[in-house]
Amino acid sequence: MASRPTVQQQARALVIQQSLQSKRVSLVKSFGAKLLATVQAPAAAENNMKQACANVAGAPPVAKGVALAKRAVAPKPGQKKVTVKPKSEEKKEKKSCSLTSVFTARSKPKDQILDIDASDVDNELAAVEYIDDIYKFYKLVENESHPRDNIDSQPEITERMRAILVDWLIQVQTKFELSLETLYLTINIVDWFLAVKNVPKRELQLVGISAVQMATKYEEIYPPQVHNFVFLSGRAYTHEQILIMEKIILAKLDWTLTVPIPLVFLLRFIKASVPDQELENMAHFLSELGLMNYATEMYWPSMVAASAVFAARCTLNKAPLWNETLKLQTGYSQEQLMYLKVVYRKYSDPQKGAVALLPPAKNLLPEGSSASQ
Amino acid sequence: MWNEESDWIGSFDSQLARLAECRMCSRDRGERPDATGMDLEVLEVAEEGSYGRVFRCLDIHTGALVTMKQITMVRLSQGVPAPIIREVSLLKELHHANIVKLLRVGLTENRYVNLVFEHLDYDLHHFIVNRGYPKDALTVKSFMYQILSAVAYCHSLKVLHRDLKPSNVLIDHSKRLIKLADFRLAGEFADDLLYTEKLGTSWYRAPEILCDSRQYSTQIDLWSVGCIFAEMVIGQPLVQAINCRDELEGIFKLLGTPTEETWPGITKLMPNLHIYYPKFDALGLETFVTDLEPSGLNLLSMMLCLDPSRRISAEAALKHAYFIDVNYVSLLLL
Repeated sequence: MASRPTVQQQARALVIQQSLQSKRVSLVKSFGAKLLATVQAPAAAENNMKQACANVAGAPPVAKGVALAKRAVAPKPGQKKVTVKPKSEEKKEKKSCSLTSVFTARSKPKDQILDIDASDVDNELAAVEYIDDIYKFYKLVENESHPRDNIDSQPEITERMRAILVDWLIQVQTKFELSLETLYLTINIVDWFLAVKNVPKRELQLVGISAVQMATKYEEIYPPQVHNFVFLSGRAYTHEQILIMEKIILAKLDWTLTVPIPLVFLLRFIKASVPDQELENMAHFLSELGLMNYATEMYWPSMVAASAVFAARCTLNKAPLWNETLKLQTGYSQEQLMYLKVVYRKYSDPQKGAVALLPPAKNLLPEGSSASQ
Repeated sequence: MWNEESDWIGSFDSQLARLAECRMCSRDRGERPDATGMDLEVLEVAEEGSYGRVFRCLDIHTGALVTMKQITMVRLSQGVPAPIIREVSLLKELHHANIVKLLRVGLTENRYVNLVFEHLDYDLHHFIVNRGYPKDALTVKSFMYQILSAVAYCHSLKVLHRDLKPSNVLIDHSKRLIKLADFRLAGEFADDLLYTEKLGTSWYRAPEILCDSRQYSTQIDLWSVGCIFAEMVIGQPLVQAINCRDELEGIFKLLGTPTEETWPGITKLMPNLHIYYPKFDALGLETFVTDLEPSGLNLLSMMLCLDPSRRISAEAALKHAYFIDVNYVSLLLL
């Protein structure tokens, strides 16, 4: 009889460390992350991650913008940690596909490319004849509506505080049975507002509350009423304050709520993946967990979505990991998606297929790191 | 209590703080047009509607004429209404030469949302009525191409117009430039009221909406464009009925009462179809829409197709043979 994994075994999560201070100069350079595998307990792992972050920040960049992997100083004597180089150092750098070249690829032989809209031709609401234009437009505007990396300029708000808020907003979504669209839009609004407006620490939750109210009005058929949010905040804020904050946010955002959130790409890319229920749940899980991490917000929504699908396929050992249909629909090659994050959260319960309890994606571990397990 | 709230307000921009202070005072400004903070000089009231009012204004900085649509917010206890948030954010995303431009949005202290649009001096309704309709075939073709370009653009963004009619087609007269306007805003009243009580509104409604279908898509706008097309050619609305039922009967007289063969799914949508409506044979569009070249008539018949799933899309319509000489048309009119 298989026993439940020990805490130590669960800690063997694969984590990609990304320098939080570095800015993305180009799409390719943003892959300058390195893999870190550790056999330490969760608390020690967190401590080591901090060390690794600090170390990466100080590392001199190489010509291609990929930071050299260095062994972090062990916080305690005797503790062992393995640092490995990313695969990209061993490969020639590839140019990212331009939007034009992606759509030019349609001239390829038809037998290699799956027509993922074939079953929707008769569904008027699927707007099949416009779907290519729709996603072309989303790609064009996704950078335009992307929050800027600006949380460091907040005098009182930290990334950890944002993560706590996002976690709470996910609970709000669950409690009110709100749509995924509402959740993604809420977090986009929060990040946008934090990028353009300094917020006192005690008002951060108010921003979150007003943002979710706006998002529900945009996305839901029946938005929850304001008094529900007053209750949720434990009456930390008044009805009036929530409404005033709503107007302030609308004015600051200049009423821009029609944004391409990662979810619009995720749904499309999942479809291109010809999913089963397990793959679909896994992809949603990974994309949603990305919301918790501020660094993830710095990537384009389409890349976050494509990465989630790729990681889900790796975890579930789908073969091939990436194919021509996925490459065409997402605009990303497999090489561009190799740097991923796999963490465990909400989908651990059986209702979601217990996908989080599946072993980490071994395909993502380079050759040299197998010794660490 | 007051001091605590004052401290909270002080943590934001002074301008927004004043906005908040005024909001909490709940002062009602009465019926005067409230353009506070919009930098506009109100010239006249252009229109009164159930959702609010429309003003002709002068932009103080640029001296340009603009149109300000002032929408009254209802249910203030819930903040900015959902339909306004939804529609305004969509309007802001529409950037096309043939769509009227939303210049800026302002929230007044009390209960209005002010939408400022570029101003155009004319609309297609007046153009048809006052000029005895555009007899020039090239003008009709040019207008149709521009309308379809705007509609195809909206549909490619998953936006439906839902209220296309000649009065919502604005014209820059000197340039013969078309701009679509008046996307549905702040629909706080039930659709049924809008359709049945307001004379003329149902004339451009697609049959699937007149049948009370809850599931409709981009095709409803193509039906409306078809009605506009016909009206430009014959100088009057194609079917002028008082209510939805009579409008539908007029359509059936013209195109034939639908059967399961001509409109698959119609018996499920309207189980009592043959109880309420006689079985008409199609009279044919050509008997009503004379003076339209054969390719134009062909395009019109594809837009005024009863079955939504067979109705032509805006994108496909732009490629129709009727527009084969559209570049020549553009050059001629410029």
